[in-house]
Amino acid sequence: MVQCKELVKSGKLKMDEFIKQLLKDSGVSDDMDAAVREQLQKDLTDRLTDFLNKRIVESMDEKTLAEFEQVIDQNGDDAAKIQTFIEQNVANREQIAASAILEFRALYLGDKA
Amino acid sequence: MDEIGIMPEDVLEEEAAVATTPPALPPDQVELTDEQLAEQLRGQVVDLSQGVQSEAIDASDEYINEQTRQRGVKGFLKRIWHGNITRDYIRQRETRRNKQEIIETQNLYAASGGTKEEHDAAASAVVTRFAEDFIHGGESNQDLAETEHGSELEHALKTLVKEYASGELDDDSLQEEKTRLLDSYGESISEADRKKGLLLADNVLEVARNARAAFEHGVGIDRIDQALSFRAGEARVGVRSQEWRDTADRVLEKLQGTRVGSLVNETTLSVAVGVAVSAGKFTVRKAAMAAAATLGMGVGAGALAGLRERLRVKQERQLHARQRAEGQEMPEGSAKRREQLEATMYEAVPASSLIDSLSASATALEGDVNPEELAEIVAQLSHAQTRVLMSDEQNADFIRFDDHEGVEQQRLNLDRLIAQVKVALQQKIEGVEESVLQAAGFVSGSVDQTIAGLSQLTAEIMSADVSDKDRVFRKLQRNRTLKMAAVGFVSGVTIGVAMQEVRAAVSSDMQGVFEHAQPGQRRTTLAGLFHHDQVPSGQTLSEHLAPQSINEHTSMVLPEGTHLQQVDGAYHLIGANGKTISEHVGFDGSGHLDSQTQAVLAGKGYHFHDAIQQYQTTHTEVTQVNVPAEQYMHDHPGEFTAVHRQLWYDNNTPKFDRNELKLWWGGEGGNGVDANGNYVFNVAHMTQGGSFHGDQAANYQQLIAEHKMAIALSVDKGTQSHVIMVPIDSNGNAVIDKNSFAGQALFENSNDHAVFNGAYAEAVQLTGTGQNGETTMRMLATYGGSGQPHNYTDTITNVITENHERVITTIDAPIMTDLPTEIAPVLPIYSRRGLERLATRGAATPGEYYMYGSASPEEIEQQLRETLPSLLEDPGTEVRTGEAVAWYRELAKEKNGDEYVEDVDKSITDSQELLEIGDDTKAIVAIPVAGLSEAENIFSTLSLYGQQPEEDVRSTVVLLNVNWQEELGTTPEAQEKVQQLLAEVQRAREAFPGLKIAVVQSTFTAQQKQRGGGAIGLVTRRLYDSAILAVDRAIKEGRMSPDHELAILRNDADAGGISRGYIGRMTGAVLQPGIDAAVGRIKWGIDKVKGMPGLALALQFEEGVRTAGLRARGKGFEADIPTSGPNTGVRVSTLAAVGSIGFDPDDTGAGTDDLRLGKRIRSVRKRTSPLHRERYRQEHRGIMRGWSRYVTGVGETGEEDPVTVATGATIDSDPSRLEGMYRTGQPISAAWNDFDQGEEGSKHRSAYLPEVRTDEKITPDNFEAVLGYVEFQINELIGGYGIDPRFAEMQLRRSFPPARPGELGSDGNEELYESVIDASGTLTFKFTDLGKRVMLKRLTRNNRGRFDPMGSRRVRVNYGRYVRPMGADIPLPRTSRLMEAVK
Repeated sequence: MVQCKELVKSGKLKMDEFIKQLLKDSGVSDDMDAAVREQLQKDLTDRLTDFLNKRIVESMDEKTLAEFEQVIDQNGDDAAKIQTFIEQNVANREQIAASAILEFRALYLGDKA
Repeated sequence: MDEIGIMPEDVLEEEAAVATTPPALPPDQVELTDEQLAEQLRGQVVDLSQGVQSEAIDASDEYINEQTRQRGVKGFLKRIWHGNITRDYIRQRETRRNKQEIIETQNLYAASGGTKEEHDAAASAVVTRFAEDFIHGGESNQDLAETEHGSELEHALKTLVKEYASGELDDDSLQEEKTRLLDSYGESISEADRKKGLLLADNVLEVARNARAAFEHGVGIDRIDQALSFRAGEARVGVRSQEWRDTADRVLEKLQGTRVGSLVNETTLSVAVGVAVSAGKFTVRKAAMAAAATLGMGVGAGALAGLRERLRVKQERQLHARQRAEGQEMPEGSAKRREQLEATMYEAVPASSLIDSLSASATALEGDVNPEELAEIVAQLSHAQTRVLMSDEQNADFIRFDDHEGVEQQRLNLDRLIAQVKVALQQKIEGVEESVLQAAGFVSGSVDQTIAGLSQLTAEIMSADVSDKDRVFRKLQRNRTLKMAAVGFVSGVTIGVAMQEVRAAVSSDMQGVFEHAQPGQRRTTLAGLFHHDQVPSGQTLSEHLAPQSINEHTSMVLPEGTHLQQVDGAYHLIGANGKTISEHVGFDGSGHLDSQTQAVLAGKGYHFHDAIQQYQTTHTEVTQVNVPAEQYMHDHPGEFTAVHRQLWYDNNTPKFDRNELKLWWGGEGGNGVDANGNYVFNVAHMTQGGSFHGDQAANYQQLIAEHKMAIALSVDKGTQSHVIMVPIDSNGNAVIDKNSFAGQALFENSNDHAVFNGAYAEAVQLTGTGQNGETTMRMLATYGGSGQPHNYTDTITNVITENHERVITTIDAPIMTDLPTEIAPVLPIYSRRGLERLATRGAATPGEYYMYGSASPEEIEQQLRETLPSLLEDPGTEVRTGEAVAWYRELAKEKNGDEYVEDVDKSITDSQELLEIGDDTKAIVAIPVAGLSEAENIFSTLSLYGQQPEEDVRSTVVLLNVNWQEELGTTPEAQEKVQQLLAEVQRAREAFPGLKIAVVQSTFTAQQKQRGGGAIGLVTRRLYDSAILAVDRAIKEGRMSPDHELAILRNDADAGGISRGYIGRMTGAVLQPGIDAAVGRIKWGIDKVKGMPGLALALQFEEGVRTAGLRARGKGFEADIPTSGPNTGVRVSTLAAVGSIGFDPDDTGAGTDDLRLGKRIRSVRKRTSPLHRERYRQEHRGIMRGWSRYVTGVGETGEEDPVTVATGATIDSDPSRLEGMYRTGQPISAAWNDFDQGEEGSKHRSAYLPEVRTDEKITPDNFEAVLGYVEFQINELIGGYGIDPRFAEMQLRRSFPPARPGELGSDGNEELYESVIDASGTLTFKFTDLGKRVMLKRLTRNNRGRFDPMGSRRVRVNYGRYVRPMGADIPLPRTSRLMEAVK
């Protein structure tokens, strides 16, 4: 994976900035109604989150997946615990996440990617 | 009497029919025990929702597989799109749609093309299983009242059943109310858990009917109420292999139900987004860094591609396991992926064989069994039970069912048999001696314990197999993962780089490797590696030169080192290196750089900005105006002196004297005008002492010397306070310029003498300034004038001031730098082919004769576009001929071009017979005729139609498409063959003058043939198009009414015989209401194969199967009535409305001309076909329907087949192809396999015939071998055509009915053959010993025992003639069945 330290150090870019850029790259007009744009951003963010999660889940082997299911059953709304499980059991999560985000971008933009 | 003694239909037995009706209700009993009543009134509701999801996923997986199986460029792109990039999205989308369809239609098998009946049968089996307490692992069943919302439902159902039982409700109301109650119950369950309540099955109607029956037989309502019970269960439907897939999906669903959001924390997300955004922005300065980043990501992409593949291989294994467990077979031919997965399949046993063995055990237990047999039964029981339990527990399939829709019924059967055998076994061993039981392997006399012990052993063996297979799978998975990781890396990088270049080529913001750099661009990774030209960085240099004026409106401040060069009036901007920056530096009207210059400079990174400088200019405007003197005085006050007259030197006298009179004219001779024309006054004649007043005196000379004396000119009396002072010189002259105001206005030259027109000219002493600033003066002398000054031409001078702006344009030179390099995206876009298609048990591959075959999505899509819209909309509609053929004409233009249609029209115009088609035409016999080879046959074929009944001949046109391959038709020999053929056609016209024979000619190229895989489709399309468009012309030209119907009869050019009245019978069959097409019987060369009884026997079977399809379907067997080339009729309206046989140029080989037609017709007419399913899917895509019922039409069954059999419409077709196969040891079922490989349009029918053909003599020594060969041929027909075993059995019974009483010693009804159905469901047969002997007899002797070989018999029966040397003592039939062709 790219070790663009300078870029990471220069700013931890947030998801919403990425989404905004994505919308811009897809040709969404700046004149769009603010409320609509906001909704669009939220929907896209939710979709990206789901997509990312799917890739993370798919990367797990059976044993890990079974354990993960138990964690969810027991700690359904405790995001911290669930994320901790991921940290401890999915070593290459950054790589998976970055690739998923790129893949999502490619999917979303189609031939504009 | 039949040809080989086939029994009449009414004695055929029905054993081949498989019972599908559910068990009947118990017989009516006046007194039912409570237990019996409770059993009959045991209600059951079962939730099948689990099956909805798995069915939906299975269908979507198969959809993706179907998309990614396709070959060619389209297939490749589909494999990338469906197989990779959007695979997950499409899988989810399809799963969602499938689920919706299943729920809406309440048909579990809707997504896979199963019918509602199949769903009902499966649901019934599940409900029965639950009602009989056969609950499997993972299922549940409890009292309905104990479930949520269950008690209300139970109460309502009980009320419903009682009302129905007592007659308060009728059947319709019962159905309606039951549906309403269960729908409501399902909705309430779904609200609590959306994965439940989607699809319910029940036996409420059956229970209600049982209740009514009980009531009608005296059972009271109270007792009925007591006995009624309802339970609710959740079933696991379908095969078991599904665990992993469900786990991942389940986890994701659970996640969505939480508020967790992202699985990765903020830090990880930020890093990931950062990396992705940097890649997304694709900008780093160094190309090498970009390349490294690309490669770095490639590694990551490869690893992830590998991970993805690992998952997919697992999914494929699951899918393959499920499909195999549902009865699908491995395909013939190469199917590498499937074979790899097959090696990882757990060992599975067919359910049917378990059922058979348990049935046999149950039967055996009814009689005496010895210990060995007991042990065998126990082993079988244990085996079956273990497999069931392990399948449930391990979510794997150790049992293979016959077919997808039959899983539940077989499962029920198996459960029942296990229970039945167990009970029977337990009963059997009671009272048996311990030693005997031990010998049989029983453990302490307990069936359960004994089975448990054996099961453990069985389970261990099966588990070992599981481990082995899992190990094989892991190796496969590892290999595929590694391979895909490499593919993902390479393809990801390569494709990413390539896509980047493609984007650069079409985008102006990126420099590709083959392009020049432009400012503002980024460059691709490749460009960054290979190009080094710099571009403006966006920043500029700060040093400038001094402003340089260009014109009054413009100045420029240029960057240091640059200069403007004027060339031919235009400015060029030259850079420091002497290179021209801009060949044009221009300005607009306001002094700014014009747009062209701006564009050039901006394009090179130069910046420019303007400053505006304000400045003023003045100028004088002089005008001449003729004004009165007063006006002039007003306008020029400065020229006048304000004066105050102090006194007059009057010399103390009242009259003018002394100096008072000495203001004389000067000038030439005292005329007041000098040599220059100026006017002159003179005072030189004054005397000293001549001017005094009182004591005041003035010395004029002194005054002149002191410049205190002047002439004061008053313009007029009214303005005398302001005078013009004219100085007096030392000579005493006061000169007035003639051009001055005074000169012009106050003087004139009259006859060379000055005339004074002012008021007063006064010689005055200037004494000083008064109080108000006026000049004081004393008058020495006064000269009076008229006081009427002239006007004066005044010169008015205006000074005008103007404000101006000057534009000062400053140009800043750019600082140059390298282009930012975009990191090539790593897109793991690789082509991923789906699994190969499996073969449905007993089904032939698509296109084979005897099954429907399945259309690919592309074929369906094509057919949707090639079908008359009104027919698509309403598959049951009657199509009007006029509408259909007119629409077809336009379709043909769209598909083949106007030129093609014009060509067809021309051939119609050239044919008088086609131009005469009208309302009296009932049939067009359409025959493709190979122009280079059918000259010998055509006359005899045409003679068959010429011999038809006169009224049929009158209303028929025979249409021949004489065709040949273009490249082969150019030689003189070829042309001669065509001419010979045409000559034969003409001979037929002359021999049968009533027969209308239309001839069209067409050619096809080798390329067309190769592209489509054969020529017969091309030729037949042209043939059908000629017929359809001829009908269209007839309607448009008023010769035929738009509602007229006629049949097109497709025959071949090599017929040897035909039924009497063939045309009438075929036409009649085709034009029946509700029928679109009809198939007539084909006999294969009755005369030609007369000497080959073995072949004749096999051919008879084949002939019978063709036309027995109707009968078979009537019995519920799967059978098709194929529309075949030699003998098929179709309505012209239908032919046109279904797009004829299609337009695909890539598919014109064998089968596309005939079999295709029936497929297309059925596909359109059957509402449940994949065509209509796809149409529905396209029309309703994305629309949520919730619980609403599906529109009427889908799921309807009982639709009649639009293709029927035309009885009495037989054609005796040339058997050469089949004979060739037979003689060369090949199966006759393969006769058309290489049909398209001929040099001409098709392989010649005699290709496999030997030059010398000998008869097949049957002798006692060889008859076994001959019959063995017949067995082979017939078994190949059954297997090769995929004939339903029940249908095959039916036809075998017809062909080889049991021995008659006394026949060769038989006591009657002894079977002549044995048949076996193997695990794949294919039937094979072989003659018994008796059968062989009987067949030998039947082949050589007639029913009376006379020597009468079958071949001769057939000729005699069909053609009413003898075959020498058979004796004429055997009577001929009064009327032969067929007419023979005339040579």
